[in-house]
Parts: sequence; C-alpha cells; structure tokens
Amino acid sequence: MLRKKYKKAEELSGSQLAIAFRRFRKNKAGLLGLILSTGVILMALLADVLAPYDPATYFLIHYPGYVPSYQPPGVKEGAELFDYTNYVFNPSFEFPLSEWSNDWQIINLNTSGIPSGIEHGSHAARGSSQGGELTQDITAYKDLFFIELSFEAYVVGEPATLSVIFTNEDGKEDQIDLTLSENRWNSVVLALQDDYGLSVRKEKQESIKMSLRVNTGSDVIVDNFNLKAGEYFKNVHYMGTNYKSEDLFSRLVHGARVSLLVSFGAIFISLFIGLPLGLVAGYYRGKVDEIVMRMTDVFLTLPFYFVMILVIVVIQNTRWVDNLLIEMGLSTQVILIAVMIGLGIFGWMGITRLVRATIFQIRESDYVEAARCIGASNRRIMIVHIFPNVLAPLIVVVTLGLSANILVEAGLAFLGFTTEDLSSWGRELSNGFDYATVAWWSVFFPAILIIIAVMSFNLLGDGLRDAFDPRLR
Amino acid sequence: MTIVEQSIREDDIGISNQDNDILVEVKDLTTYFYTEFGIVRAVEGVSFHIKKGEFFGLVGESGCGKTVTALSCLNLVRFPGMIEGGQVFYKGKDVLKLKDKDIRKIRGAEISMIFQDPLSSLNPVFTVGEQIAEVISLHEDVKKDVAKERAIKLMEEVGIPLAQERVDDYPHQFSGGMRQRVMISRALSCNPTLLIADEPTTALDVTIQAQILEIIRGLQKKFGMSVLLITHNLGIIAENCQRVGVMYGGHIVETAAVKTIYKDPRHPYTQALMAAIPRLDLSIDKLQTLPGSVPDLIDPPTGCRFHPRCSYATSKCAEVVPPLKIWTSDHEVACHHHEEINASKD
Repeated sequence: MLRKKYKKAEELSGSQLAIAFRRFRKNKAGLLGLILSTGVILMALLADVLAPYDPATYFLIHYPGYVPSYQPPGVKEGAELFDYTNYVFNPSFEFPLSEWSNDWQIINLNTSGIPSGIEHGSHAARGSSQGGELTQDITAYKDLFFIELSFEAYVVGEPATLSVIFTNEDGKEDQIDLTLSENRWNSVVLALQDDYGLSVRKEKQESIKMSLRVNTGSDVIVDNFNLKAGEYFKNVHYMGTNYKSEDLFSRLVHGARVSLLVSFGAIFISLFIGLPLGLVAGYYRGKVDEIVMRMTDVFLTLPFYFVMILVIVVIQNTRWVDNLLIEMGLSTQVILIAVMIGLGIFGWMGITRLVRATIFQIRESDYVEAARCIGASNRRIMIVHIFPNVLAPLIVVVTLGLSANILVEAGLAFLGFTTEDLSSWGRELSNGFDYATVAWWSVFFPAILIIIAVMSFNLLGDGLRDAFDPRLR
Repeated sequence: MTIVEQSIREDDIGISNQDNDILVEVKDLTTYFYTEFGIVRAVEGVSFHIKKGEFFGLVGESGCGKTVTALSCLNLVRFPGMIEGGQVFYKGKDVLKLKDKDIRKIRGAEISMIFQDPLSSLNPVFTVGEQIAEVISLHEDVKKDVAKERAIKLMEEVGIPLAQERVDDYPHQFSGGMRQRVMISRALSCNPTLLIADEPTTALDVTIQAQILEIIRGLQKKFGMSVLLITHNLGIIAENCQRVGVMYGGHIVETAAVKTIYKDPRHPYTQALMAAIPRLDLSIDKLQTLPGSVPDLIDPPTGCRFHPRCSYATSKCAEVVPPLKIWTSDHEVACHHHEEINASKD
C-alpha cells in the first residue's frame, strides 16, 4: 500500500546503472548515437550477409579487354561479353594466332581466286576433312551463360558439312552440324544459351574448348570469325564501384569490419595497459604514481602520427613478429595488426589518467573510510568498493576512444597503412580521392561512413557521460 | 627496577595495567599529518578511557582533533597522517601494535563507527542490504541469504519501515535520517562492544537528530555496548552522555562526568564554552564569546594551547604543557592554575 506511494519515486529506483540508462533513454542525441553505432557494429558483424558481392569481385563491363572503371551508383543491366577472336584472321590484328590450336592453313584470299563478296581481310583459314580441327579455349571470367559465334565460310567445290563442337573439361560434347552451300560465302551466326542447346555450360573456372571440324567433302575457308562468351548480368551497385570496378557498397561493408576490429582491438590493448597502470597509480600513490604519470606525460608529448608510423614500420619489420603472425596464419594482416598495436600503445594515457583521478576521488570518500571501518581488507576495498565506481567513467572514455580510433585508423589507411587484400574505409577514401571530380561516389560514401561511425560513437559516449554524471555537462 | 621502567615494559608487551572495568584506554595518543605546508599536530598526548557500557562524549570545536582521535583508535589514520606515539588499549591489547589482519577482525565486529554524512558513507553502487550483509559476511562465516535476513532484522531494529522491501533499495532512495539508520544498523550488525559515533547527527535536521540519538541510546542499553560520541553540540552531550572529554587544539583539557562538567567546569576553556551556551533559565543581554581564534595546528602555541586566548594565562602556561591531572575521582583537568581560578568557587 505504502509502496504504491513511491510509484513516482520508481524513476529513481534501482542501481546507478539502471538510473543512468533510464536517463540515457531520454537523451535523443545519445539514442541516435546508440542506434547508429549498433548499426555500424551490426554492419561489421553481418558483412557477409549484407554485402551483395564478394568485395574482391571485379565488375567489368567493357570489352574488348578488361578495363576497370568507375561506375556510378545504380543498377547495371546487360550482357557481359568477353571477346575471344575478333578479326583473328586478319594478320594485321595482333591477336596471337599461336593461341589457336591451328591445324588449318592460313591462306591469302587475294591470290586464292575466291570471290570476296563481303568485306574480307586479306587472309583466311582453310581447312579440309583431312586437315583436323580449328580449336579455341574459352575461359570466361564468370559462369558462362551464353556463347555467341559468328563466321563466314566459303566452300570450294562440293557442299560440305562443318561441325561446331563444344567440349568441357570432362569430355562432354555439344555438336552442332552445319550444312554449307558450295561456291559461295555462307554466313553463320550461332547464339547458344545455357538453356538452349548448350549443355556443356562452363562451371566456375572450368574452360570449354570450341572446335571447328570439316566433316565431309571440300575444303572450307573461314573468315570474319567472332567468338564471344559471357553472361547476362544485373548488378546493383548501391554506391557505385571503385576504380577497380569493385562494388563499393560491399567493400565498405567489409571495410567496417576492418575499421571496427582495429578500433576495438586497439581499445582493448589500451585498456590492458592503461587500466592496471591507473589502478596502481591511484592506489599506491607516491612514487609509483609519479612514475606512471611521467610515463603518460612522455607518451602524450610524442608527435602521435609520426611515432605511430614509426611503430607500425618497426612492428612490420620485426622478424619474430612476422614469424608469430605466420604461425597464427595472419601473415597478410601484418600492417593491420601493427596499426592496432600502435593505436593501442598510444591510447592508454587517457584511461590511466581517468582511472587514477577517479580512484583518488573515491578513495577519499566516506564510504571507503566506512569500508575500512568495517574491517574490509585493502584488496577488497579496491575491487569491491572502488572499482565499480570507476566503471561508469571508464565506459564513457572507452566509447569516446573507439571513435577516435576509427578516425586514426582511417587516417592511417588513407596514408597507405592498411592491408592489400582487405578493404578499409580509409583506403577506399584514398583510392577515390584522385577521381573525386569524376566519380563523386568513390569519395562521398567512404567519407560519409567514417563520419557516421565517428559521430555515432561520439554521440553515444556523450550520452553515456551525461547519463552517468549529469554534472559533467 | 623503577616503577617507570616497569610500566614501559608492560606497555611494550601490550598489556594494560588498568582494572577490568575499563574497555578502551587511550594513552598519550599523538597523531601528526605531514602536509606540504608543515606538520599538522592534530592530536597530541591525548589520554582518556571508556568504561564498559558507558556513553562517553568527546566535545570540541571543529578541527580540534576529535575525529582524528577516533580514527586513531582504530588505526585508520591514513597518508599523510601518522600515529606518532601512544597506546590504545582495547580489552587489554594495544590496538596500534596489532597486525593489519588482526585489527581488521576488531574493526566493524567489536569496534564500529558511524560517520557524519550518511549519504557519502554508503557506497552508491550497492543496495543497503548488501552493505549491511557485507559486514556480517566479513566477520562471520554465514551464507548470503542468512546475512540478508539478519540485515532485514537489523533494519527493523533501527526503525526502518518496510525493511523487507527496502533492503534492496539503493542509498540515494533513502532520506537522510533513514540513511543514518542504515549506517547504525551496519555498525551494529556484529554486536560491537564499542560504537564510535562521529558527529552522527550533524547532517540531519533537529527532529531526526533526536530520533537517531534515541535509537543509539536504546541500542546501547539493549546490548550493553559502550559509545564514544563525538560532537560539537553540548546539548547532545548533556542529553546522552555519562562522561565527557573536552578537546581543544589537539589536547584534552578536561574530562568529567556530564553533570560535573556543566555544574563545575574547571578549565578556563570549558568555562568559556559553558558561558557561551544560550540559556533559557537566565536572562542575559549578550551572549559571551571567546576572544581570539582556533590555534593553527601547524604552528601551535607552545605550552598550553589555550593560553593565547586565556585571561588567566601566565608565563608558565606558555612554556609547559599542563598534564591532565586527577582533580577529584572521575574529574581530570589539564590546567596549571585551575585551583587558583576556581578558588572563589571552591
């Protein structure tokens, strides 16, 4: 009954933490920070699910050749073709004929007496039923969905049959027989799709062999040979692609993983160094405190970026570190680990100072005196009575430290201190930087992500600080 | 072997030569604080004793060393403070010579303490139940739920309503008086023989003050413990204590039974204090005040520390520290001239 009168006072009930979180719930900026930072963390955790593509996939749409390029955000639809043989029979074209397993002869059309009804180059290939096969390996980059084949054939003398044969690596064959009319140019166009005639569809990196074989009768002269292989595609690039034609969204989602991993790792290293030092300095005071404080002063005076770079380079080039990493199977991530360690050993000073100051304040408080009065040992006072009070400011400083670490990690990645085979925000930013005027998305999205991540952790930290100690406002 | 040597030897082996009636005896206690401004002579040569079941008051103005005396009794003086000399005999053992482990068994269990500000004396991160139970589980080998049950009983005993529910509340959810009750139940959780109450009611308003003192008095009678009550409020002393010690500038200037102190104060400082109390039964136009100010304990006056403010001071007062001498049984005075001063009265 009486308890019901306290209902209003429920607001203030519960532990310090419970009150702090109730206060935090009312802080809109802090809540936004919490939501955004949770989003960023989830993004890193669920990168494999969220990212539509493997971050290392190149999306090449230009042909001939593999020319990587920036593509703006949006949906890319079309056919992706890889050209194998355009103008291959034109000797002036530099496509290496040696790549053809070529039992056919090259003939000069001008002197062969064959009428050139269509535009032809000066040379063509001549094969006979005794002459074997004209073959070509097709190795498309991705799953093969269709093959497009076109050529012109002239049959000298009697009508002939020509077979186009596709063979996969298991020896399975698709054979298409073409009957050609004599003494004229026959135009042949074959478009083979996976669901239409082409059963030897290439899986993954397997290659298909295409052969042309003259089965009966006269010689066949083949010219203007075109062979294209590729796939239909519909790619969605939410944030466009980077200079390597990699999907920027996937890269950045995976980059969150790197950025957060480095930041969290670094803050744990900082905690590992800073917390015991702060506890020791705050508890023993006197000389120990003096030594620890001078150490923090020294670390604070060092020019951060330069020494960081030095530390990274030293770690990178230390043999035993290398050996250790190879043993752990992390040899390719050496720079990343060096950045993490470097950030860690330059980020502990704030934690030490805070813990020390808090302990100084708390150990003079009456409740510590009271704890001594009830006969609690020093260790018990330290762990049970003082440490929980350090926790709240520690949570705040760690959250704020995280955002600082994200920023510095991005900065170092921008300068090139990042692993080659992993994407990171700073590196994407630095890659896009040179082409910012033509490909705005390549700078905009990495930058906005860094801003969101840093801002969200800052807002969260500020919100937590206000919640834990409104007087600090 | 002379008598002096014998007493030193006995002190060294930690045995008091006092009779059994005395629970705590403080002898020549001296505590200094080594600050960067100089040595603060907070407590110097303080001697008093507390009998079993006695309500002993220690009175004096702010900064005269009352709290430091109390803390020294439990060897709780901390950096930069140091106990320079003296003995504190508790049940015949010198507390100051005990090992840390042994004195911890006394703290909280046999001698416990309550402080001035009950909010800051309670740890904000634990519930009051946990904090009361902590004392019990520190000194007795009991299970958690048993300790909690006892905490609830203790809370009921000090008059906290709905103790069963409030045991899980945090200190900030209690009012000042309730917090002090929590502190008292915490101090009493192991049935101590001595309760040191360091200005237990200063932070509370007058009605709550009375309640708290009522509780302390009631519990003292119930459990037969001794109480060392530190205060600067002479009214509280008069109401509660059986004997009282008056402190000035780190020295004890007079100890006597309460009635004696009020009726027949012999030290000029005590007399001045009594004269400064507003009284209902007399009509006085102007309240008497004490000239001068509290001595600076870094550079205290030589001899009697009260002599710069004392109208009876002679050259002897400035040179020799007056010892605390027995005047009548149970009345000790530390003044060279109290006999002449009070000659007219006597």
